[in-house]
Amino acid sequence: MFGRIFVYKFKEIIRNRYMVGWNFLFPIVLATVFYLGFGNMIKDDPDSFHTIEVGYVNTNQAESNFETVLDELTEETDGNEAILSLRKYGSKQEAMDAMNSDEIFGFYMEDGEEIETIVPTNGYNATVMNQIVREYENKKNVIDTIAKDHPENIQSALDMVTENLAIIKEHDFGNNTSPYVQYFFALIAMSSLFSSWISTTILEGICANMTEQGKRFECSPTSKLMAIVAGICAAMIMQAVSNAVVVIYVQKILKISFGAPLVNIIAITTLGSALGVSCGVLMGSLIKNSRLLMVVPLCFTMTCSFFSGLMWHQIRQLIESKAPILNRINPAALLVDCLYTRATYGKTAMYYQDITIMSIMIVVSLFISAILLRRRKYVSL
Amino acid sequence: MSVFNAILKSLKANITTIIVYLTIFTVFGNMQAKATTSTQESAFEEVTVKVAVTDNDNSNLSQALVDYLTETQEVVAPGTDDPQVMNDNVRFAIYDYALIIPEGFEEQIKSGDVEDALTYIAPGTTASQFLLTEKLNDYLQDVVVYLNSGYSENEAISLTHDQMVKLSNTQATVVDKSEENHRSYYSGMYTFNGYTLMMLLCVCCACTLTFMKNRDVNNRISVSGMHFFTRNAASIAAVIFIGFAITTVAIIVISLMGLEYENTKFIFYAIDTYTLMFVGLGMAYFICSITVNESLINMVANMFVLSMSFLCGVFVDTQYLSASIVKAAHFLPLYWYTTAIKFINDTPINNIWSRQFASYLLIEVLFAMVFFAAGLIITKKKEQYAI
Repeated sequence: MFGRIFVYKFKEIIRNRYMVGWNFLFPIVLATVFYLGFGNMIKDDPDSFHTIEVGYVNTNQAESNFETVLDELTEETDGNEAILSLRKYGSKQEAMDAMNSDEIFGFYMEDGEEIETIVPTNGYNATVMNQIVREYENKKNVIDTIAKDHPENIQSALDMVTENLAIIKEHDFGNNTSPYVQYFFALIAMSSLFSSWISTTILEGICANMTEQGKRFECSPTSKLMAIVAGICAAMIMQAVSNAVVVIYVQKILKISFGAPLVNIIAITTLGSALGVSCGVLMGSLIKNSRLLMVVPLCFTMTCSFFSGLMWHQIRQLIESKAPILNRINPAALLVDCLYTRATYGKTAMYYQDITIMSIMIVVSLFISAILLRRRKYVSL
Repeated sequence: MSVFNAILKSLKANITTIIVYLTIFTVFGNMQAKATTSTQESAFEEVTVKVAVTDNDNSNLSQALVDYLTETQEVVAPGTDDPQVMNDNVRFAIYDYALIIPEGFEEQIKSGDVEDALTYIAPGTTASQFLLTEKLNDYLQDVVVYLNSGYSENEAISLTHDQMVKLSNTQATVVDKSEENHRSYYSGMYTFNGYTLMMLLCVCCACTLTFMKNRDVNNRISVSGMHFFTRNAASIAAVIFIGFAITTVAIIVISLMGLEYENTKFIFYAIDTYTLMFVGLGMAYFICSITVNESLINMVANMFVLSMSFLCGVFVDTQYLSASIVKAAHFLPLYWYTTAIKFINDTPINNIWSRQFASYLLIEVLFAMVFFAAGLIITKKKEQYAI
C-alpha cells in the first residue's frame, strides 16, 4: 500500500505544472540569469587589483630616480600583476590628451624637484598613484634624517630602504571561493524551501475540508500516517532530484565550482530538501485556510531566502556579526552557511553544527506535525 | 463606462502586489541609487580603508601603529578573535581588512627579525588590500630603519609619525572635466525602476486582462447589449489607464525620494519611463495570451523580467557583463530603456532631445508592438484551435 500511495503522490507532484515550474524550472532559469549577471565577477572579481595605466612626463633633462622607481613597479613580482603600466610623454598637454581619451588613467609630471600626480577622478587608482609618490618622498626623508643625525649608519640605512622587507603576511585559508558564489548557495536554499509548497499541496490532498480529493481520501480505508509518510517521501525525492539537477547544471554546464565534491554538495542539498519539506508539513498541519496555504510558504521562503543572501549577498554576514541567533534559526541561512563553510574551510565544527541544527529542525517539525495531525478526523475538522 | 469601472475594480485584487513592489523599489532602489551616485570632483580625496585591528601585543609600538591607522583609516572593532569569522567579515565587506598584531610583536621588531611580524586578512588581491599593506609596510619599514640606525624606540616612533603627517600634504591634482561617468541619483532610481515597473505592469495588467477572459464575466458583458466596439474600447482604455497610473505613481515615488537632489532632466526620464510603459503593457498582453492562471502569470513574469533586468544593466551595470551578453541584450527592450537613461544622464540637457534619444524610444515602441503582435497571434491561434 505504501508503494502504491508513494507512486500516486509522486505522479501527482510531477503532473502539477505549477509546482514543476517553480521547483524545477525557476531555479534553473534564475541560476542561468545569475551566471549571466555574476559569472564574470566569479571568474574575475571586480574588486581585484589590476595594473594601472599611467603616463609619465619628465621636463628635466637628466634621468630621474623616480623614473627608475616607476620602471620597477611595471615589473611583475612573485606571480602578482605589475602595479603600473607606464607610458612616457613629451609634454603635459600630450599626457592630458591621453588621459582625456582614456588611454591612461592618470599621469606623473616631474618638473625640477616637484612630482605632481594628475588624475581624472578620486578613487583607489588615484590613491595608489598618490601613495607611490608619498613612498618615494618618504624614503628620501628617512635617508635625509639619518644622514643628519647618524651619518655613520647611512650605508646600512640605504641598504634597508632599498631592500623590500616582508614585515606583513597574509593569513592563508586555502580554498577561497568567490563571495558571489553565495548567490548560488542562496538560490539552492530558496529552491529547497520551495518544497514547502509540495508538502502543503500533499496535505491539502488528504484533508477533507480543503479538496474533493481529500473527501475521497478520508472515506478510504487507508492509514493516514502511511499516506502522509508516503507523500513526504515523494516530496523529498522530487525536491532532492530538483536540487541535484540545479547543482549539476551549475557545476557542469555553467562551470561554476562550488568548491567541494559534487556528492557532498548533493548530500547537503538533499538535507535541505528534507528541511523544506518538513517545514511545509508543519505549515500544512497548522494552517487550515487554503489561501493561506499558498501565501504563508511563499512569504516564509522569500523572507528566509532574503536573509540568507539571495538578493544582497552581505546580509547573512551582517546578521552573523549583529545577531547570530537569527542565522541559527533561519533554515535558508543554515543551508547557505553549511554549503559556504564546506566550500571555503572544509568540514569544520561549524559545518557539523549546521548539519546538526538542520537535522534537529527536521525532527522537531515532523514531531510537532505528527502531534497536530494525529486523531484529526473528518468530524472534528 | 461600466466595463471600464469593472476592470479598475478588479485591480483591487493586486493591491498587495503593488504595495510589495513599491516597497522593494523604495528600499532597494534608493539604496542602490545612493550607493552608485557620483558627482564632479575638484579636490583630491584619499580613499580610506575600513580596517579591524586585533592588538594582542599592547606594546608601545603596537599602540603607535593602531594610532597611525586611527588617524589615517577607518578603524573598527573586529567583533571576534576567530580568524575564520574575520575572513568571512572581510569577504562580505563588513570591513575591508583585518590586521592581527601578535603577542611579542614589539620584541620581534626590536630583535631585527622583522619577517612576517604581522598578519592580515583581506578578500584576495584587491585595491584596498594592496593600498593598506603598502602603507603598513612603509610605516613599519621606517620604524625598523630608524631603530637600526641608532635611534631609540620612542624616537623612531615619533620620527615616523611626523613624517607620515608631513606626507599627507602630498596630494594628487584632480582634473575632472568630463560630464560622463557621474551617475546622478535619478539615473540610479530610474534604472532600478525598469525592474519594478515591468513587474508591476506585467502582473497587474496581465491579471486584469485575465479577469476579462473569465468566462462568467465575459458572458455577462456579452449579454449586456453593449456595442462590441464600446466594450473593447473600454477594456483597452482601462488597461492603458492602469498602466498610466502605475507609471505615474512610480515617477512620483522617484521624485519624492529624490527631493534633496536637483532634477533638471525630469521630463526626459519621464518620457523614457512612459515609453517603457507600452513595453510593459505589450508584455502583459503577451503573457496573458500564454496563460490565464495567476500563479503562472506571476512565474512567467518573474522569469522574463528578472532575466532581462540582470542582462540589461538594471541590477548589474553593463560594464561588468561580458561583451557577448551585452550584444545579446540588444534584443531585449529593457536594454534600450537603460541605454536611454544613461544617455540622459551623460548628455547636457540642451542636447538630449536628439535623433539618438528618439531612436532609443522608437526601438522600445517597436518592442511593445512586437509583444502585442505575438499576443494577438497566440490568442487567435488559441481561439482557432479552441485551446
